[in-house]
Amino acid sequence: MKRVNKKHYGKAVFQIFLLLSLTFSVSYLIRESSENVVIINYEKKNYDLEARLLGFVGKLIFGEGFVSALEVGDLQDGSNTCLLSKDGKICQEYIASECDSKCSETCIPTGKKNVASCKPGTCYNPVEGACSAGATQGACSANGGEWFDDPYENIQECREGCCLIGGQAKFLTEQQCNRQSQLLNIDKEFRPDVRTEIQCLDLGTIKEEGACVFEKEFERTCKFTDKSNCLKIKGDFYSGKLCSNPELDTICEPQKTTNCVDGKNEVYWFDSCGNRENIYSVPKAGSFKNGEVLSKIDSCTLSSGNNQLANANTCGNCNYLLGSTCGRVSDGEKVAVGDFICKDLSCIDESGVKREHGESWCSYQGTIGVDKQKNRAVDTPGSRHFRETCVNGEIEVNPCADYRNEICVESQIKIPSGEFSSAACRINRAQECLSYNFEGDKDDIDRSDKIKSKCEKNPDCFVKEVDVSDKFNFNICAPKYPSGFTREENGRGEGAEAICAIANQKCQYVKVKGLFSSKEVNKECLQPEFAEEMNDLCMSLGDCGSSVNYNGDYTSNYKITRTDNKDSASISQTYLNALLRYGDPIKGQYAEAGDLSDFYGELGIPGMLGTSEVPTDTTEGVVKMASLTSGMLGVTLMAANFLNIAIPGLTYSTGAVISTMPIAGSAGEISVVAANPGMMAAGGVLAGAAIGLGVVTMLLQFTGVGGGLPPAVTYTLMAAGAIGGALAGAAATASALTATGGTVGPLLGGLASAGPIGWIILVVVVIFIIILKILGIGKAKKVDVQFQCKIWEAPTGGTNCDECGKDGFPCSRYACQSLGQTCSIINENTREVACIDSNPNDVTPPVIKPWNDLITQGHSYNDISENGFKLESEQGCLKPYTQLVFGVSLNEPGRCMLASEDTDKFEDMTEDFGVSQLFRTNHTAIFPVPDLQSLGLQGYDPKLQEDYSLFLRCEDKSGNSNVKEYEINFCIGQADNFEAPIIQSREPNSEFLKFGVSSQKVDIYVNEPSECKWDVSDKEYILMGNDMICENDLEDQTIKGWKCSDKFPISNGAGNYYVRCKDQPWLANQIKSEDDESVYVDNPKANESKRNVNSESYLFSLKESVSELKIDPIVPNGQKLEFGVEPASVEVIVSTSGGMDGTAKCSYLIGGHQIDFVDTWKKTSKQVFQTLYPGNVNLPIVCEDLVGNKAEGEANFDIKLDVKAPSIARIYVESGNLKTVSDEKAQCVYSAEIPESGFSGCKYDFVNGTSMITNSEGRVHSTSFESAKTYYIKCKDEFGWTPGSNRCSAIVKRGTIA
Amino acid sequence: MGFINKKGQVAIFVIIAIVIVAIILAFMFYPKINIGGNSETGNPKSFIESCMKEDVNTLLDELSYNGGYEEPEGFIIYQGEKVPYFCYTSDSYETCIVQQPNVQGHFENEIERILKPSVESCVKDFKKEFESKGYSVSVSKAELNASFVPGKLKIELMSPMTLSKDTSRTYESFDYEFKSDLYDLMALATSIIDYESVYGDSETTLYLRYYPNIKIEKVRLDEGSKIYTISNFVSGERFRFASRSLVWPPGFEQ
Repeated sequence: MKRVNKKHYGKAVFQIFLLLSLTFSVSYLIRESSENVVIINYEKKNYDLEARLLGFVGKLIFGEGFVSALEVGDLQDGSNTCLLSKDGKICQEYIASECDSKCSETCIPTGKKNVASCKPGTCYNPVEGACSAGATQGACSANGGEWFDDPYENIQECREGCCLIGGQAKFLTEQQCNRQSQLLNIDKEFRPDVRTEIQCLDLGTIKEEGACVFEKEFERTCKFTDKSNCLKIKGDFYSGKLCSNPELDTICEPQKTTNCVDGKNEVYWFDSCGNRENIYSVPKAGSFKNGEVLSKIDSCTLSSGNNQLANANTCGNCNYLLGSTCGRVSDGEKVAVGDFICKDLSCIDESGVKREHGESWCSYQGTIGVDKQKNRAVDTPGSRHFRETCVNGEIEVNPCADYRNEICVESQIKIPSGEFSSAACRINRAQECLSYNFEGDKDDIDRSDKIKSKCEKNPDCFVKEVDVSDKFNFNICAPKYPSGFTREENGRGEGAEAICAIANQKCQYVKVKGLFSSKEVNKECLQPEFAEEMNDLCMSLGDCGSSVNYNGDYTSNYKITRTDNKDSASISQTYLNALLRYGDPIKGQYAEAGDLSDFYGELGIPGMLGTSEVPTDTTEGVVKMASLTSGMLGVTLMAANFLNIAIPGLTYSTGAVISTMPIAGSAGEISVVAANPGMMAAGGVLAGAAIGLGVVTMLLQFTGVGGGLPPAVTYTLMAAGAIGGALAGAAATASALTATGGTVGPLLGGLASAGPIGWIILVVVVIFIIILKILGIGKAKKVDVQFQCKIWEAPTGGTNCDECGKDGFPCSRYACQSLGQTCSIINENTREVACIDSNPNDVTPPVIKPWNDLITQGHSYNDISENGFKLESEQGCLKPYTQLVFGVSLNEPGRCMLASEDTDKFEDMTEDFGVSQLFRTNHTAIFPVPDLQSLGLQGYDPKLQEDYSLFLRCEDKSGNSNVKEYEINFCIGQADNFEAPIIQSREPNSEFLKFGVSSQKVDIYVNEPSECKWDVSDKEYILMGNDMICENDLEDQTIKGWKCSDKFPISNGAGNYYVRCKDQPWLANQIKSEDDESVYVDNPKANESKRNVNSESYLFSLKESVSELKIDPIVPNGQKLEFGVEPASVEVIVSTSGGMDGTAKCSYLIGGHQIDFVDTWKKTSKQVFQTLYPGNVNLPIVCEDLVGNKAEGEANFDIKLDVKAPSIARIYVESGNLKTVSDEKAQCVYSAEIPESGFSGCKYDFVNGTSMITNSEGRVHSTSFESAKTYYIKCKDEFGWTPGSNRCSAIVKRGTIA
Repeated sequence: MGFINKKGQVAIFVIIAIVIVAIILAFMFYPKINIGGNSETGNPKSFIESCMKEDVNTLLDELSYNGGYEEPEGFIIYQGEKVPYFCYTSDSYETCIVQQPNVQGHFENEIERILKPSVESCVKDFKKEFESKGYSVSVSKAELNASFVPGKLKIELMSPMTLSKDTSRTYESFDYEFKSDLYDLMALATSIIDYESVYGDSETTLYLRYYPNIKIEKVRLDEGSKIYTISNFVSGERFRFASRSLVWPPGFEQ
C-alpha cells in the first residue's frame, strides 16, 4: 500500500516535471544559451553584427544539444572571400563551409576587406570622366578605370562642376564635360565654382539667347538661338530679342501658335517661322514685350491665392516643382489661345485627399505603432508599410521591406494650400530595442535607468511597462513596430521563438494563512489581467501572442499554466474586441521619421559630426528630409541574457515582516561586568529582554507563524517576549548579585520581584505561538503562474487566402501566409502573383512515426507500431541525468501536443510537445531524465524502476488531428550514482578580470544537483570554508547543468580558487523547509553516506588586468586639415594599450549615441568619417576591452576647405623671363595663341596649356618672355582648382597686365 | 519653216517640261526610286545607316531594359527576365559592392560587340549591290566605336573602303547619330548605385527635382533586392537594373 502511494506521488511529481521540462524546454534552453555570450569574431563588421544577432537569437542554434546546418567553426573561422561567384557576382563573402561550393575560383580565407582587389574605392574612368563610388579595385581595373582608395568619391577627379554645353547645363566632372564637348564637337564652358546641381540647372535657364538673323532664299529670316550657334550659321546675333521683333524686319510674325518645349515646363508662344518666343499669356502684348525676351520671373503669374493653376487659361508659366507642366489641353480644360495649357500634376489619394506633385505619404494595412492607452505595440502579423507618391498626376505605391523590416515614416510641413507630406521607407530598428534590455553590467544599480534612457532615445522603441501587481511589475524596452517572422516549412524557428520567449514569465502567487484572514500576494496573477498584461508584452515583441492578422482574423497563441493544476484565467472578451480593431488602419496615423544619425556610424555609413555642416543651398530642405527619412540605416543586435534582467518583486518571503535583531550579550559577558552592580543590573535586564525578544523572533520565524500574523500582533508578541525576558533577566541578576554579596537596588529589586511573571509571560507567548502553528497560522501556499508567449500562428486552413491583395496593396508571401496555414503564394515576382489554398481538400490527420535519425546515442525506439513506440536505453530503462533527445516525424507539417493521461481530442491535450510548437514535419524533444529519488520514489533497490507513458496528438495545417492517441512509453531506472559530481562549465569563461576589481561573481555548472564549497587552498570538501549558493530544483537544470554561484575576493591581482561538490542534496542531514526555503530543517530521509563528493578540486583561476586600459594619442587631434573637396574624408585612428591585452572596442559619441568604430576590437581601431564639412569636429571616444576596462579620449580637429583657384599676387619680367607669384602652392600654364575672332584667349583647358617652370616652393612660376605675345595664364592649386575653362588667372598683353 | 521650226522648238520645250514634271512627280510619289549615280546610293554612309538603323533601335531597346547587358552574369530573375545586379552583397546588414563601375562603357562595348556582325553584313550588302551596278568596291575590316552623349548614341564605323567606277573615291570612317536619351538614364543609374553602395538605399524622388521627364520605379523584392527601372516618358526609353544592399534578413525565421 505504501508502495502504491509512493508510486502515485512519483507520478504526480513526474507530471509536474514534464510540465516544467518538456513544455518549457524551449524557454529554459533559450535562457541558458543566451546567458553567456561569446564574442565570436570582431574581425569583420558584418560578422560583428551577425555575431551580436546570433548572440540574441541564434546562438542557441550552435549551443549544446542542437543540430544545426551551420558549424560553430563557421563563425570562428569567419568568412571566406570569393572573387567571382558561380552566379557571376564579384567579391562576395560566404561562410567558410559554403564558400567552395559557391565560388568559381579558390576561396580566399579572409574577409573581403582584407583582399586588395575587393577593397571598395572610387573608380574613375579617365576617358569618360565618370566616377563610381564603392567600386572594387579589381572591377575598376578590369573596366579600364583608375582606382582611388576612397569609397565616397571624395577625390579631385570626381569633383563636379557646371558644364555649359550646347545650350544645356549639366552637373558633371571636368573630364565628362570635355568628353561631351569632344564627341559633340561643340564648345563648352566648365564652371567649377558652381557647387550644386540645382545651381547648375538654373544656369542652363539663363543662358544668353536672342534672334539670329540671316538671309535665306532672298528672304530675311531668323532663328532664336544662342550666340555660338548663331556664329556657326553665320547670322547676326541680337541678344535678348525675339525673331519677330519689328526692329529686325524679318519675315517671322509673332505669336502664331503655342506649344510645349522639350526640356522646359512652360507653355510658349511660337512665331510663324517656328521659333520659340516668350511664355504664353494673354493679352498677347504683355508676353510679346515689344519683341524683347521676357524672363520666367517677369512672365505672367499662374497662381492666385492657394490655387496654383488659377490663371491657367491665360498664363502658361507652369512650374514643375509647384505641380504643373505644359501639356495638351484635355476635355474640361479651357485655354484662351491654342491647344496647350499648364497641366495639374497633383493627385487625389484613396481617402479623397488632394496630394501635390512630388508629395509622398505612408499607407498601412492596419493600426501601427503603440496603442498609448494600452501601452502595447499593435502592428498586425502579415501587415506591411507602404509609401505612396504623387508623380506627374499619378499615384505610385511602393512597398517598404516586408516583415516590417522597414517602416514608412512621414513628415509634414505647412504650405499655403495646406500640408505637404514627405514619406520614406526606412529600416526598422525593432531588434535594437530588444537588445537594450541585455546591455550593461547586471550589478550596475543604474542599469535600468540606462536601458530606459537608450530606449527612449531610439524612435522605434518604447518602454513597455508590465504592471500586474505591486509585486509583479517590470519594464522592458520593446519595439514600436515589431518585426514580422518568416514561416519556412523546415526553418529552425529558434530565432522567432527566442524573441517571443522574452515574455515567458512566472508570477508566484502566495497565500499565507492568517490569524483572522489570509494574506495574498500577487493574487492578480490568477486573474485575466495577468494574461492580458503579459499578452500585451508578448505581442509587442514581434509576431507573437494572441492577435489578429492584417485581415482581422484572430488566433490565440499564449498559454498559462498553474502549478496547482487549476484552470488559469484567460484574456477577456473586452480585451479581445480591442485586438480585433487593430486590423483596420487609423486615418491620418503615421510613423515619425526620427533622428537616426547614430545608425549611420554603426554600419560605416556616412554621417555628420561636430559643428561642421552641409552648405546651405536651395536643396538643403530636400536633402535634410531625405537624410531624415530615407532608409539608409542599419541595426545593432546585441547578445542577450534577458532572463537576468532585474525584475523587482518576483521574490516573496513569508518571513519578510519579521525583523531580525542582534542578540546582545551572553552569560559570559554578564560575569565580566559583575564588578559594577549598576551596570550589571542594567546588563541583566537588557540581556534578558534581548534573549526574550530573540526567542520569540526565532520561534515566529522557525514556525513560519509570523508570516500569517498582522504586524501589530507580531510586534505585541515580540514586545511580550522582550518584557518577559527583561523581568526574568532582572530576577536572575538580582539572584546572582545576592549570591555574590552584592547590593540589589530598589529598581532592580522591584523588577526582580516580578521575575516569575516574566517567566510566565515568556511561557504564554511560546505556547501561543505553538498553538498558532498547530492551527496552521503562517502556512504559505504558493502557486506559480507561468505565462508562455508563443509565436503568432495563422488560422488553420486557407479559406481567406484570396483576401490577399484585395485591400489595394500588393500581395506578398508574408501577407499571404498570415491569412491561413495552407495559404501559399504563387507566381511571386511576376504580374500574376496570387495567394491560394495549397491544400483545400485535406481531411486526413498527420501520420506519426518515431524520428529514426534523431535519438541520443545508446538509445533506441522499440516496439514501434502505428500507435506508438517505446524509448529504451541499452540497459532498457532510461538512465537518470541523461539529456535524452528524441523526436517524431510526420508525413506532413503539423504541431503536436502531449498529455500524461488519456484524452478525447487534440484540444484536450494540455502540453506542447517538442522544442518548437510550430508546424513541422519533424519534432524534437529534449528530455532531461530525472532521478527516481528526486521524483520522490525512495528505495535502495538497485532494480527499482518506474514505467511512464506520454500520449501524443498532432494537428495538420488544415486542422486535422489523429483521433487515437500516439503513445510514447519508457521506464526510468535506478541511478547508478556512485560517481562524484562533475563541474562542467564556469562563468566567467575568461580568467582575466577588470583592473582594480576587489571581487568577482562566479558561477559553476555541475552535471547533477549538488552542494558545492570553495576555498583558496586545496582541501577536502568538508574542510572548505565557503558554501556556494546552488540551484538544485528540477526546473533549475540548464543545458550546462545545475548552477552554483558565489563571489570570490580578488587580492594581489590574481587568485586560485578550489571548488568541490557533493551530490544528492536531498540525502543531506538538513534540507530546506517546504514552507520557507530560507529555513533548514532535519531531513527524515537523510543518508549522507550515499552521497558522492569530489576527491579532487576544480581549479578556478582568475587574473586581474595588468593595468588600466589606456588610449594612446588619437590621430588626428588638435590639427587643421585642409581639403579641396567637399565633403572631406578623415580617418580617425585610436590606439589602445594596457587593460586585458591592449585590444579594445572603441566607439565615438554623437548626438548622445555611442557608436562603435567600424574597424575595432583591435589594438588600433579605425573609423573613416567621409562626410565632413568645414568646421570644428569634436569627437569624444570611449574604448572598452573584453573584461570591462574603459578609457576615454577625444579627437578634436578643424576641417578647412580650399575652394578657390589660386590668385596671381605678382607678375614681373626678370632676365627675359615672365615670372608670376601665386598666393598658394600651384602649377601654372599659359597659352599664347591668338584667339579666334569672338573668342577669349582664356578659352583653353588647363591640360592644353604650356607649363611654366615652378620653383621648389610652388609659388613662383616662370617662362621665357616675348613682349610681342599675349600670355593667357592659368594656375591650378594642389586641390585641382583652376579659374575654369573660359577664365584666366592673369593675362599679360604685350607686356602689360590686362 | 521658221514657223515649223518654232513649233518644233515649242514641242521640244513642252516635252522637256513634261519629262521634268514627270521626273519631279516620280521623285515626289516614289521617293525610293533608285537612280544609279545619285548622291544617296553613291554614299555608303546612307546605305549602311539605313541598313543598321532598325538593328540599332531594337538593340538599344533590348539592352537598355537589361541594364546594357545581352546576357548578364550576376543577375536576378524578375518577371521571367534576367536583371543584372549593378551592386550586390549576399550578406545582411552590409552595403553592396559595385558590380559594374562603368555602366556606360560596358553598354557601349556591348553595342559594339553585338552590332559589329550586322554592320559587317551591311557593308557586305553595300559591296554586293554596288558591284552589281558595275562599281568596284574594296573594303577593309570594319571596326565600331559606340559612344553615348546627351540625347544621342554616336557610332563611328571605321571601315576604310574605296569605290571605283569612272572615278575612285575612298572613305576612312563614317559617323552616325541615333537619337537616344540613355546617357541621362545611365548617369542616373550610376548615381543610384553610388547611393546604394554608400548608404544602402537611394531616395529616388529627389531626382524628380532635376529631371522632370524621368520616372524611376523601385520594386522591393522579399529577399532584399531592388529592381530599378528608369524611364524617360518623352522618349519612352527604359533602363533597368537591380541592386541588393543593406538587406535585413526577411524576418526572424520560424
